[in-house]
Amino acid sequence: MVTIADSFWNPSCIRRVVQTYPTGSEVVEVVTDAGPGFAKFLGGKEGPHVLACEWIGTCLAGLLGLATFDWAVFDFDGVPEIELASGNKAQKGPAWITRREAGFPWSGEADDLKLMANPGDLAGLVVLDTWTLNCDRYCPALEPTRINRNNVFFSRRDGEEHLTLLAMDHTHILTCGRELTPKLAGIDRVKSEDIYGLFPEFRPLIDSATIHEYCRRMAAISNEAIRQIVADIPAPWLGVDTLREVLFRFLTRRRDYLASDLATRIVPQTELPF
Amino acid sequence: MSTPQTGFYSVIQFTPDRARMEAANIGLLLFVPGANYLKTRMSGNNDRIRRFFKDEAPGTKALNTLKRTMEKRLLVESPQLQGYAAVERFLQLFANEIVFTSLRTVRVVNPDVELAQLFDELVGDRAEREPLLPSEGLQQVRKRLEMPDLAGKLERNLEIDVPILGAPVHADYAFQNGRFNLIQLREFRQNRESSLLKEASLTAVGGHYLYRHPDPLRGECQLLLVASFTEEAQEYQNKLRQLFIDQDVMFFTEAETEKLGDLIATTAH
Repeated sequence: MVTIADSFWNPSCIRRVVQTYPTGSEVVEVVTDAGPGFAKFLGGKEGPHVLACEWIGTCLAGLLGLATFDWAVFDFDGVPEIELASGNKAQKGPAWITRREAGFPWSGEADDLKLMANPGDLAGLVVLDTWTLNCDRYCPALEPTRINRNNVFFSRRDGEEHLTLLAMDHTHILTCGRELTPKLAGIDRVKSEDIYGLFPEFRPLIDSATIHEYCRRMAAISNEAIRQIVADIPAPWLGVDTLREVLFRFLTRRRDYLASDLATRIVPQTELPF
Repeated sequence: MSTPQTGFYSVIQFTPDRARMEAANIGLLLFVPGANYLKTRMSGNNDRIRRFFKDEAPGTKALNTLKRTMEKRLLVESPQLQGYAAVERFLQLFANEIVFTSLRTVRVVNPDVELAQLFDELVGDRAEREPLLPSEGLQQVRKRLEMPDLAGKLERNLEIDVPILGAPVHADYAFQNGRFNLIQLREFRQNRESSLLKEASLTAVGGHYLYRHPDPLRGECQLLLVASFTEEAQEYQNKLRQLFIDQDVMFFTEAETEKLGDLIATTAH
């Protein structure tokens, strides 16, 4: 099985390992038969659900119109043997892979955000992270606030002069890397008031019109589209099939909950141009 | 071997001052336990080292000696290097100017092809890069030269300085039989006759000078060219043969590997 995003990138096997990284999902830099990329395998220390989360987050980012890495899912046949950073072995089965791009993570300085070719996507990233409770970029709900600037990645895909923000690494959405359970669709999570992904440095660059536009896009993502995303999650990444319904319920209910006022909670109404 | 299996690769690096943690890639090691395969391939070119380290870089002879010593050492040690742990420990103990990166896994179908491909990706300079998949014919030549009756008589990947040319002549293999014979494996891929002749002429001139000017260490030398031609270049084969012979270069096509093998087997010492 190979599932590809809206791209022609279609790796079918790992040729060699370049580097393993001690991240939550134990990502491995590899060279595939279609070039270099970063792969996440079954067998990681946080279990298979982080791969399901990666799938959901990246699919939703695409539907919101955010730029993402080229990605694919391919069947890893166990060759070559790969030892993950924890010492676990990568297991055979569906693996997630994104194509390597030239670029670097955000410095954390507000000035560097002005180099972006797509500054509007900052608002989209906040909408995505808040919808999916992504604790792995900027999460004030945790004590201390979780700040991970490595997940604000600038690609040079649009040339040397312009940096393109990519929505990346969604393994810690929904449950912050913990197991997915029926509790996910509970009212406390659906109606969480916290805003995720909103670095203080982002605020001056997020205007009312753009945040409204991304909230409109979120609200326009249909139940059918969400059901399809959930239905397409490779079975080994979920384990229990009933989780699909839990995921569907959470995503649709939280979308509906946020649609009414998320934009005005991020940018006060007074900025609207009357 | 056609079923993919796990192998391990390490990049061999030259580092004149390890305290600075700067290194230039000079070779590649491939270890495939399931195929009992442990080989290195060293760069025949020192340009990268010279460009990167400038005054810190040793001279051509010193670098070539270092690389040759490396290869020999591995040959000597290889019977003891059974298993991942033994190879890993062996590589970790290298100090001074040679460093091996930690072993990383690689998918291997054909170890010789994988070694060539990894070398191309990780070590080869643009100027010395081979096609991504080396010519099948030259792969066969390599296999023949690596068979037990010839392998022990050959040196690998070396350069001989030809002062009048201002650049060393590189050889994939070499053997001594009263004259020091440098074997170059070369694929001619040019579609245009002028390009083909230009490249061949440069090689022939190098061979001519090599033949006429003995090396201070190796003595009298001769270039032996083993050529592979793409379909488009086939028609120029006889013209090139004459060109090389006229310049004192011994010429073999890939189809004449056995002739070369006989020469090595019967005369090398």
